[in-house]
Amino acid sequence: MGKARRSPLEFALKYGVYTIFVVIVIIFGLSNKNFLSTSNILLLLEQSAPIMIGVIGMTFVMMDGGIDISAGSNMYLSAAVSALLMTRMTADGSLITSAWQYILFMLVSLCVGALIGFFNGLMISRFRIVPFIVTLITTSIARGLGMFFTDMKLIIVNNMGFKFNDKSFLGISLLVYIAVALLILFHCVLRYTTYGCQLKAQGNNHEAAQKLGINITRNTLISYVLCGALCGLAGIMLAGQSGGVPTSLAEGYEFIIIPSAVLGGISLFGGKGSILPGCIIGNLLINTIVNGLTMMSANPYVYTIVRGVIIFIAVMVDSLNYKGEIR
Amino acid sequence: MHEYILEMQDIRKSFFGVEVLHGVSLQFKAGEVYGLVGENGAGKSTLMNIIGGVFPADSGGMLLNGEKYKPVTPRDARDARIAFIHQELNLFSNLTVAENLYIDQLPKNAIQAVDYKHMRREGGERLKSLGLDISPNALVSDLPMGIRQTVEIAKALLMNARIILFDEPTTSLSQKEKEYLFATIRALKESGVAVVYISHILEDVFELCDRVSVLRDGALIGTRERDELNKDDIVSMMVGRKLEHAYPVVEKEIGEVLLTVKDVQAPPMVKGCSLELRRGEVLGIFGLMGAGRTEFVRAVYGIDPLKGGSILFDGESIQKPAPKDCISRGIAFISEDRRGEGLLMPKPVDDNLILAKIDDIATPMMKIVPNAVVDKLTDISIQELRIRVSNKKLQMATNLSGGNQQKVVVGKWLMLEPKMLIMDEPTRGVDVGAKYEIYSLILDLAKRGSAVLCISSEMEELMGICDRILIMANGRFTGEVHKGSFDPKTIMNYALQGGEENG
Repeated sequence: MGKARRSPLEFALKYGVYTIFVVIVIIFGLSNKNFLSTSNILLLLEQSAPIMIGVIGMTFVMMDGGIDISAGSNMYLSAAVSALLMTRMTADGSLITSAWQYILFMLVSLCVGALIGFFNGLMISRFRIVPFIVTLITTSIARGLGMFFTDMKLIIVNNMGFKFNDKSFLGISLLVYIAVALLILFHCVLRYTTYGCQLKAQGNNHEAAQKLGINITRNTLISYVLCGALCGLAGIMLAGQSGGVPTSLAEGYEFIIIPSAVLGGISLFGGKGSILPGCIIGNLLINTIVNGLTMMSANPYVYTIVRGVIIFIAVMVDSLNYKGEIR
Repeated sequence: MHEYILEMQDIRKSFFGVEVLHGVSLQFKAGEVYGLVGENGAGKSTLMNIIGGVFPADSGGMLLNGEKYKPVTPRDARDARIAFIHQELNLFSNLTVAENLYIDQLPKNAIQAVDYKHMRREGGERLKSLGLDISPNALVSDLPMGIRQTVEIAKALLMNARIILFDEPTTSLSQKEKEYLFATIRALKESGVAVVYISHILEDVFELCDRVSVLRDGALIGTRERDELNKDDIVSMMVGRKLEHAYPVVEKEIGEVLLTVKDVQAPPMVKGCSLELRRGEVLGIFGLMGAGRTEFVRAVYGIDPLKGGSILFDGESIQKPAPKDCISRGIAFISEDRRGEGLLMPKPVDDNLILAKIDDIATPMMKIVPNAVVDKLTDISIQELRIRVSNKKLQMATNLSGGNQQKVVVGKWLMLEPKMLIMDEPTRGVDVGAKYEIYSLILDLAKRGSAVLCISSEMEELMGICDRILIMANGRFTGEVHKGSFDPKTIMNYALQGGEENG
């Protein structure tokens, strides 16, 4: 009994992404000799790192069967608040020098993100408003708040010393180390804590979870707070990468983050997937395609088309694969 | 040690202002299997849900081993070591068997991480000691229904439950699985666990239980010890209710055959059903929960896929029934799920009433619906059906009483003047006065020459309005009774036959 019968679709969803990834790497590698160079791979990893942290957070939300559209705006507001604080604290022209200051600004950004996540989670878990609507509203509010605080101005953090492109260890950017550490940490949270296991269970069947006495309200709230906090952290990392916080920072990134998770096998319907390797592969695939297209000097408008097609396929496969009731 | 492990004293419970339990007192002993029988809606499941902490009682108390027991959440029940095996299973199909066994109390290892190894090992051993050949690593979604049930039982055993409540545990089990379940229950009894067993299948209850109580309409009718169990006695206790309300009398004529259904199959619930329905006839289908009544009519109407059999309606054969096709042929179907399938709840009354008629009144070319016609038709309908509504344009279906809601549903279909009307539980959640009016509507329709197929779990209602009652059990028709020879005991005996076939 219990012989696992996997449908071809399920098989395609599970291993198809890896196959596509390998094929794409080979194609780009053959068509451009610089694509597989060490510097390009390192650049690719560094570019992927902040988004990947957002994907970790989104995984928790999606594990519960929810969604967080506000991820991109959250990144922006968190980064903007932290960057504003930076300008005040370094108003005398001094540079940020110590590691503690770096950590402080990252923590500030993380906390702002967590607050937004807390608002989302509260509305969704306690007041039972549909996640899509709540987070769509926060999307608008967060970006609006950020623009209000910054007066629609670009805040440059580069000249204050807050930048990541010169911070590296063994030639690998600091951002990659942070992302890897968080991936491992949250993989363990999802797999080896009571919270993680029960979140996965309730994502499958909220009603049964409630009957078993699992605190589904609390678990949902925590998942949104985690998502918000990680997005906040990713926001300041993005700012440190580009050297500034423009009003368009991370705009539309939720549409990279959510499909990355779906491509990584984390279902939009909840209860499915894991952080390792789920959070890595989908994001890497999308970034590799964009990176490869850049190196082939493709028309920049093609990126969004290609990205759209990938997202469409990923979501379609996820939906076809879903056997339960549509919520 | 107290004589009774759990005592329920004068438990009362109301839903939406209607009392469904009128002061029930029961006592359960350790090492005893206690049977609870009764018709659908007798209050058995409500009682179990109160013990299991799913919802609290309105009044009355419970004593667990002599101490006050007042569960507010299912977790309280679990902490009191009371396990509840629900009719629909509480398993997570995305997790493995081992994870499911431990999900509400995950074991931790030295570094406070969830200990999968321990779960697999202990869970595997536990399953083996129960004689179950299930891999703890198997995903629940890959297991057949019967096995899933045993996983659920294993879970109850894992928490060393003192009291285990079974609510209709055998509905999805095969014969072999059922025998195994009974053996397990007997072993539990030997080890001093109190088992409460709810079932429709009297044979099973007689085989298993030491004491049996009968509930009817939310009240305890009687309790019998094992050696004084007698099927006739129990059945008459289950049905022995007097006719509470009169039924309208309508003179009507029964005409020629309108619908012939032959050997219709829709696995797994419908295993070959045939019937004939004549113009002007009201045919009832009675059966206990899970008999396959609803599934049968859904298959005939084409809502669920039909897997064999033939349907002949009004001289024409229907090859592949589909709701739209059935409607255009003049068959209307009133679902048992009024709120979900019968009405647009947040829409006003007139929108709901006109819904089925809308295609007929729309202008031929542009398909525009003239408001004046809608107004006129809905006004007539509201008047004829005496739907109590203050403003049909402002009052939403949600805000109507159950009886008025049902009248709106009936009114919607009557506008089409159907040749045949299928009604599934026409008076569920409807108050007594409105019931009478709905019965009148059904009979008037039959008088005008339409055929009515009426499904109900309320036997007396069928006896009151039907010309003929077919009784369904275990996916088949097991008996037929004609007006004049209606007898609750005969009908109930037919309805309980599914169990004999099983056992």
